[in-house]
Amino acid sequence: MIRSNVIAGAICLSIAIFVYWLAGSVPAMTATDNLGGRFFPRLIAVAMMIASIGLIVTGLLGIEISGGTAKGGAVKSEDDETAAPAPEDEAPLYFGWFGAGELRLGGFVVVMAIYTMILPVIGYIPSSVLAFAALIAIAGEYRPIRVALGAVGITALLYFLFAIVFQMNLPGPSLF
Amino acid sequence: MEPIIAGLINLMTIQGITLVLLGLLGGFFVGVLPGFTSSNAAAILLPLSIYLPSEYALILMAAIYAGAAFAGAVPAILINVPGTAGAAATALEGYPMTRAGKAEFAIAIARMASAVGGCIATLAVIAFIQPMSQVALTFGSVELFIVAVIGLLLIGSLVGDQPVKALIAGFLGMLIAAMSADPQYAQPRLTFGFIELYDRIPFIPAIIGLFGLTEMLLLAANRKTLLARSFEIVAPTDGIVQRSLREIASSFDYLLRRPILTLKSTMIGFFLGVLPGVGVTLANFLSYAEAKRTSPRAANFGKGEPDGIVATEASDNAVTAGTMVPTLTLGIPGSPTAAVMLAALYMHGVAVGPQLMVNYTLEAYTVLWALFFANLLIIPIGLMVAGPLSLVTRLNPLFLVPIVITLCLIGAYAVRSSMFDVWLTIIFGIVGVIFRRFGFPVVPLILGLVLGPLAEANFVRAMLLGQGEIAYFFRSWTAVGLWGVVALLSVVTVLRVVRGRDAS
Repeated sequence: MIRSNVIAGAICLSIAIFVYWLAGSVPAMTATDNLGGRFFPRLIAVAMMIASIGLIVTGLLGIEISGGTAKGGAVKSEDDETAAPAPEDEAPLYFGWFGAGELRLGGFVVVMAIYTMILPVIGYIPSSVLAFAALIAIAGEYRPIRVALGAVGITALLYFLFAIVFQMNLPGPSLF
Repeated sequence: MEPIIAGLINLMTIQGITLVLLGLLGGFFVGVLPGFTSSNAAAILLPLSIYLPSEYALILMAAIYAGAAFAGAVPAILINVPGTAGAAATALEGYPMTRAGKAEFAIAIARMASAVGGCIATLAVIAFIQPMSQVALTFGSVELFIVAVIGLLLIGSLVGDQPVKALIAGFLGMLIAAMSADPQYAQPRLTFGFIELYDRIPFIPAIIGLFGLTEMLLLAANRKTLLARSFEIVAPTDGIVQRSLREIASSFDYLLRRPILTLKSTMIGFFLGVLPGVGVTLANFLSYAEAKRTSPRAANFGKGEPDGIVATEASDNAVTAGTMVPTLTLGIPGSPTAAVMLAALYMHGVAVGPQLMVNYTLEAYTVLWALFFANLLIIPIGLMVAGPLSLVTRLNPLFLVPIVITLCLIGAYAVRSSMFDVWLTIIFGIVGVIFRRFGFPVVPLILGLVLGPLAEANFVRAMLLGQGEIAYFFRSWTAVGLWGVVALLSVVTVLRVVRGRDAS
């Protein structure tokens, strides 16, 4: 069994069923309206269900359907970017169920989410300094002076680029 | 002829040439940096390009595209890690040449083949895009619907290693695109009450999230740094002018003695580039396989045969030109970078599709000329920056990742001053990470986002015009021919799945 394919297929199947069900709530405009707003999403949802079932079944049977594209070497592809580990990649570290990489990735996502929440509240500069400090620390730089200098420096650099060079609208503070 | 010359004159301004040079350097930078593609770079630059006229934004992106296509060969040759997808096959011959002490010559050949292949293919596009767009202009709703179906089938038949996963990704993209007001009655559907979605999922946050943000999150997770141990090989400290001229002369002479190989590889790259979403990897390995099959020195392949580099690099840059054809004539992106270019057009309010070559002829030719000159300038500029380029592979992502992540988020906000778009960017970034973790390709998702509305709008229109008669979908010989292509691609998809299953 190819577990990842079965899990991915099940998730995609669930999404497709959910969309099919949800599309049913789109009202038909006339009694004979077969092509209303619900038709197309339902059509695609059915196609996705079939493909997802195919992925689940082949996953359960342990069949990896890999097409005829030639492969070779450590490749970073635009359509399948699974580059081989670089020679200098860090050694894998594990904390419980999660590796250091997963934790770092999760940390980045959490910081991005918090950044997006506080950005319109306290404005670009304070939120960016805080977010950069957190991101740099999560990335692996723990020396406080470097973190602080990096956070302030990058915030200033991007402020110069966005607000002064390109005169973009940056989120202003709603709190003050 | 007149618009072709007008496009050339339009490019020949200080701003135009400067943007070509800047884009080329940017393309070199991202091409060398493994984990970064031209589409990532173009996606990150996308919000900034709103402050440029549309053709300048596209000039910048076209030059990045050409530069990255060549520069990916540098780490492939020096350290056996391709900087871009297109350089994967280059490593097969380039790295053995480095080990044999011929790295300089390998890079010189790659540079010359990239430039020649890219220039020839771009000239072909410039010459033939007008007739091609005339054909596209005759397309009605039926033909455009079939083109969308063909695009979908291409996802399954040719994209990547996993046809089923590619199809699922394509369908998911179409479903995401369906989260909008429906094109017939403007009824909101699947919008979860978000008024921002009535006009469809905005394309730009999707592009920035799936390309730029995903890449950075994965880079953060892996904390990749690469060692460029070959700086001194490509950064001569003495006699640089003489050596540069000698390199250009010898590599040009090498290609001149192989006109058929160069032209054949260029044609393979060009024609596979024309097919939306096929990807550069397939073109390069096909060119490589064809060069090996027909070469009198086939036994040398795999041991450092320069003909292999000529084949892969000529087709690599020819693909970039080929992808411009569906992008400019049909509004269907030929590659991820072309998808970003389409997003830039959307952002500037340019209506993409068959009318583009009529309404924006000058801009289209300007961009094509930019691609031509970017390819041409690969020779001198590539030579000058070869040394510093190899240093890029030493970059530590400690500061790069936070900078690019913020560029992505603030960039997504800046386009419409919308925090909703920032959230969408994050969501698409996470979707991209999940896709990559489960081995799903991202490109079909983007194609689905483009093809979904095209397919739906034209299908509904055709059904209304044909009063629900299926016969209306065979109304012209063009439509019948396109259905033939659909049938052929369906067979290829099924065969591919069956053969893949047998192989496993």
